Amino acid sequence: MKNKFKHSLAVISDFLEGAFKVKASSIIRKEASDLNDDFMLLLFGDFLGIPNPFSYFALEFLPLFVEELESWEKRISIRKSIVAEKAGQYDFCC
Amino acid sequence: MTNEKILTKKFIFFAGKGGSGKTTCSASFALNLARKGFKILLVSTDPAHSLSHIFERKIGSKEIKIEENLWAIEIDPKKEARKYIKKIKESIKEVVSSVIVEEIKKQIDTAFLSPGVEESAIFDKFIEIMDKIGNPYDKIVFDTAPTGHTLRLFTFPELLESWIERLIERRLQVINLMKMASKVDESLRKKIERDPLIELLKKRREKFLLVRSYLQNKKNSCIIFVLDAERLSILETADAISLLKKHGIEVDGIIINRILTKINSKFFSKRKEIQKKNLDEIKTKFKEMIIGYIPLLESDIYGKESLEKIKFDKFK
Ligand SMILES: Nc1ncnc2c1ncn2[C@@H]1O[C@H](COP(=O)(O)OP(=O)(O)OP(=O)(O)O)[C@@H](O)[C@H]1O
Ligand SMILES: [Mg+2]
Repeated sequence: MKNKFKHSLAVISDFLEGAFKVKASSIIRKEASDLNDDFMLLLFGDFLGIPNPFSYFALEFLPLFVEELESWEKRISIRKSIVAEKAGQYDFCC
Repeated sequence: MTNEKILTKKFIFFAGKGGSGKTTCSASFALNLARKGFKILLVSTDPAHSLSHIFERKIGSKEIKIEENLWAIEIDPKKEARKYIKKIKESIKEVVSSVIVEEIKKQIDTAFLSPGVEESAIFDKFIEIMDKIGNPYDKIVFDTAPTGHTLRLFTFPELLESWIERLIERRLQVINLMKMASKVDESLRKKIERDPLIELLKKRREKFLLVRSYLQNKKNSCIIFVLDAERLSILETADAISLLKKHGIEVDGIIINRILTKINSKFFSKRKEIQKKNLDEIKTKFKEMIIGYIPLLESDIYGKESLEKIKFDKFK
């Protein structure tokens, strides 16, 4: 089970990092990368200080993402302003 | 409670203002049903538990048999959260190096201190308990925490669903873009046929959906508010009922507690007069929702003997 997950997640990060030879890839890749950041933000935003009322339930998925977490946090902290903007889109608070 | 309709429900919730009589009502209701022959689980979702006090014995975070056909449990959010976090830390240890484990542990421990944790842990256990309906329990009776807590518990599945929904949506968008790209890359196409994470997310969504459908489906569940015939109780109950309605959850009945009956002192006859007015207001406000009343008794109610005697007489 675990390997299956590692595999599928690795494919996504490989793709985002440009491991596949895809024509016209840079646009698609950029879009996919943004969406993937969104996804990670919805899950682990609280690691970046964005309060997430669902963080308890997000922890369930943490073991699957631990290896990517560091590079994601680095990438996203470079794009702090974008994050702030995105976090604004989520009316998280209840 | 003689109300036949309630006897057809699987989940019966007693809710209401702090101190209104939720524990007293749920415990005596559960006891009566068990003695009718139903297999009953009585669950406290209130972190300040009092089932132990009312049954005069230790009840804990594991289901325990009180007597023939009656079991009880007090959900312990701290314990549940600790168990959950421990499991996650263990599976993280299996995947990554110990350096990263230490780093992540710090983050998990911070998350563990965030304000939503207790409620989330209660809700998670709540899902697990609701799953036990039919096997082995015929009915599950809930003694809930004071109104605010319980409103959040009831509306939680909806919030969680929309969060999971958004996760699934984003994930699918990423996968779809990759599929687009994979049209020109054979090796990528093979690798993204199915995404196990989507399946995991959907499984979670199923659980949240199930709880919400249990709560919204009148065939399954029944929510009863217990209130005193006092101004603030009336207002709080009316607010709670209309808020739940907005979330598609119907309140089925109310029980009026601490009715003053045979009173002859001067002080209490004044009190009784006020209560009479409040009772009239309750009758106009809640009408056919009223399913019973309990007189004010001379002493506190605890122990099976006094619980047995509580009758939810039909309101006259
Ligand atoms: N009709 C009554 N006559 C006399 N005493 C009562 C009556 N109903 C409840 N009590 C007493 O009032 C106190 C509070 O009742 P109970 O614990 O059932 O309320 P609760 O709604 O569960 O409170 P909490 O919000 O703290 O959980 C208890 O000591 C109980 O014995
Ligand atoms: Mg109580």
